[in-house]
Amino acid sequence: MNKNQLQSRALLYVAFVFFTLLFAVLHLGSGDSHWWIWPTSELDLQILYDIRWPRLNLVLLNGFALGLAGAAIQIIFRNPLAEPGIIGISSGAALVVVSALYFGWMLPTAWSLPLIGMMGALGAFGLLWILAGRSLQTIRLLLAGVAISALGGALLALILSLAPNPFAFQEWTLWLMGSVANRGWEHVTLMLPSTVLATLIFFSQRRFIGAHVFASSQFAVLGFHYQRAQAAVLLGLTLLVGASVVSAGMIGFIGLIAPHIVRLMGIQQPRTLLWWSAAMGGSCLIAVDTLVMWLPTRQELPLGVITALLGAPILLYLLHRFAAREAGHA
Amino acid sequence: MLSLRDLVVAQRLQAVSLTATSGEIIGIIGPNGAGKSSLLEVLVGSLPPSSGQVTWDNLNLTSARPLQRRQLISYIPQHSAVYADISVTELLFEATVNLAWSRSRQHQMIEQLLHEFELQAFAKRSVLRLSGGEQRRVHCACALVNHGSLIIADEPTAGLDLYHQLMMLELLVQRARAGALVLVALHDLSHASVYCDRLALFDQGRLVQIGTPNDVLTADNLQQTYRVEVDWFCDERGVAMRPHRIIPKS
Amino acid sequence: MIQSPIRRLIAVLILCWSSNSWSMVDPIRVLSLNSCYDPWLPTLLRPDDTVIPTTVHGNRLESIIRAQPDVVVHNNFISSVLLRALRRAATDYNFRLVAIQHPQTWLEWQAQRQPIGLALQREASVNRWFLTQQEQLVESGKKLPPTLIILMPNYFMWAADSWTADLLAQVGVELQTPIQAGQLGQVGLAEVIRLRGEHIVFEGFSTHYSRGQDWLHHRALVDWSADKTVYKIKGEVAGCPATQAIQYLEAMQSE
Repeated sequence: MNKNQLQSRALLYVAFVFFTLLFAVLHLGSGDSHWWIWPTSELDLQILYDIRWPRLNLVLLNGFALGLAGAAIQIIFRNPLAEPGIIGISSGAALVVVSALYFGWMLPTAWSLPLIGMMGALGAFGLLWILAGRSLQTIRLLLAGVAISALGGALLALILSLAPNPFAFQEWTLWLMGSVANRGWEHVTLMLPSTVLATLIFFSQRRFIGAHVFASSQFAVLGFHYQRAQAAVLLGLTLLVGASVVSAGMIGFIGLIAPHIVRLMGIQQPRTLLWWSAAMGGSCLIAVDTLVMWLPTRQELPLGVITALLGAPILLYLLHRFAAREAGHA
Repeated sequence: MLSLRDLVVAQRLQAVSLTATSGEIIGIIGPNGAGKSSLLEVLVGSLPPSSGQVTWDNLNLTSARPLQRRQLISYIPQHSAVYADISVTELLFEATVNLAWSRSRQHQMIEQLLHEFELQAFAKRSVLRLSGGEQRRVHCACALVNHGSLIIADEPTAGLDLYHQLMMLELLVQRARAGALVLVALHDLSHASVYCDRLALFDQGRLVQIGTPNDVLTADNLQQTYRVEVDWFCDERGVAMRPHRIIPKS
Repeated sequence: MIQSPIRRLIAVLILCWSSNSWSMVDPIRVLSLNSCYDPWLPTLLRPDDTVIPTTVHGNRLESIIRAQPDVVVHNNFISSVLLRALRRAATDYNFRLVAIQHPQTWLEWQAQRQPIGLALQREASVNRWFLTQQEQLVESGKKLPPTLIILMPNYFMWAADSWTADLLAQVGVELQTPIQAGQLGQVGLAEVIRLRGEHIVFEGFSTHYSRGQDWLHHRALVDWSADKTVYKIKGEVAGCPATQAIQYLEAMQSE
């Protein structure tokens, strides 16, 4: 890397940190009719510590987890269109969590809830494996993902429409369109252990993940316990997705977009991409949630609505680009 | 020393036995579907054999630990691809994974490989933007980075122009002369006859014959396995083969 | 089967002959299209009338027709597709459609006394029911706290123009809400804990809702509600605000 490149890279890092902090400050001060960050009363202080800080932390954790999961899935599937939401593992997690809560197996703040969510994500993963085959080509992966998402969504709707209460539909949209509104420290503590554990797992497997620049035929002599390493990464992924769904519902597309923004910044090496996507996911989600709070809608929009609104066109653009590239090769 | 005893892979290999010593370059030849790639996959450990033994000195290769295999074997697969938009140098760095090299050792070895494979001009370029042949050379370089004492190459010359085909084969010969055992699957029989010390001819999962190129590449063998009639021209300048006609399936 | 109309005719004739006051009315079959009306309709009708509750037909057109109602009662929350189909079927299968407006205010609700009585052709009993409800309202209002804050699942609260606000105003109770216009709205926790009041109502929470009742477990809300009197209203009562208005108010009475 020459001096110019180093300089521009450093500039990029500084800009990233600056904008992240800027949005974090904007986020922390938002919520009331006017922006404030310095509490002037006991009540303000309580609002800042019990409502705003946990929300900021939760947004950051969710963005971090989804960015990390998105990058890891794209790298290990060797498929730039993979994303926890698109390939249906989020809806698997949501389905199992909703079932657990609906049938009264546990409280919404139970510590075991992320584990339950993980089981759902793992189940969806298994189904994806069966439907998409081990080759995980783009088309089969997306088709299988759509099928699993649809199935998960339908079963979710089924369970909730059995409920004898007018709020059932609301509940359904809250799960499908993730939101971090009115979450507290309970949700942060619900999510933190899984995220930390998954991050440690990914850190220990960073070489294995990085080696996915090579085709699978090469792995026999790269020195990895393939099955063991793959199981560990899969476990990390389901932990991240499970914890995110449990605390905020399904927030789509952030796991797709974050790695692509990082790639646009010129960071392509998988190992670097992984951590940058996590940071970028956190940063982007804070920005989007600030937008959610600032939008003059009558009631606050779910976070997932905005990420989907921004993410769907980007997915279309990427699909178009990859289709063009494949056509060029044919 | 590599030794295979009664190696069987269901529906692919039948009771293959052979031994080979370090310093040799052995060509694995045979028609499509003869079991060449299967044999090489068993050796690198990605295809578990149904029965039989594969040993390297005193090490059982099929049950070797991944890190042992990593040190021992260099493998150029038949099909290779790269899944990130990174430069040739960056990819070579990735290829040093699990070798526990120091940063300076990595730099030194990568410089050497770039030189050997004549890749210096592309070092900073993205692998994805190289031509097919250039990419293939990069993959071969990645595979050979660990300087394994057992080199397994599955059609390393595929997709290369004539100059680079010969360069590739000469590199493998060099590695053999430096003390490695090279097993290379080849389709080009004249290349095989020129560069390999011994040839192992496979057909329908069986080892038909193993020996010097002169012993193996007989008109009879070619008729029975490849189903072609050829004329051989040999003199002090080298070997050339002129195909006559193909023999249709009766 | 063939004999049943004849038998019914004879029964009516006997009734006409025996009693003058009962002589002009046949018993009717009334079909309810809203689960709130299932328990309510029998209290409006005469003992020999039949009510077909929603559990019998599940709002399926085919089952509604098969139930052979004389009157079908619905409100404005009915699916427009079903309503159109019912209008067409009403002439073919000879039943009357009775629409009850979902009221925004207590006065609107009480004003429906006469139309409902006429439509059901049970003016006396309908009148009696509404008058009783009006009397009970005054009675149940006596034990209520002066101000109330009502929280619902999914961060919903009643707004200043809602039915609930009006109902509470009828009995002199002030509804505290951060939403000043409209019926209903979602609120942020910060808005809620800025409200000062001593009495909170958790309305319509059910163990079946997970995300929806998240905020019950939020530390800010738990702290805020710790020193306040808390009442709970079940979903079944809260879901039928007009017909169960008295039960709704009774659930908020301090002992």
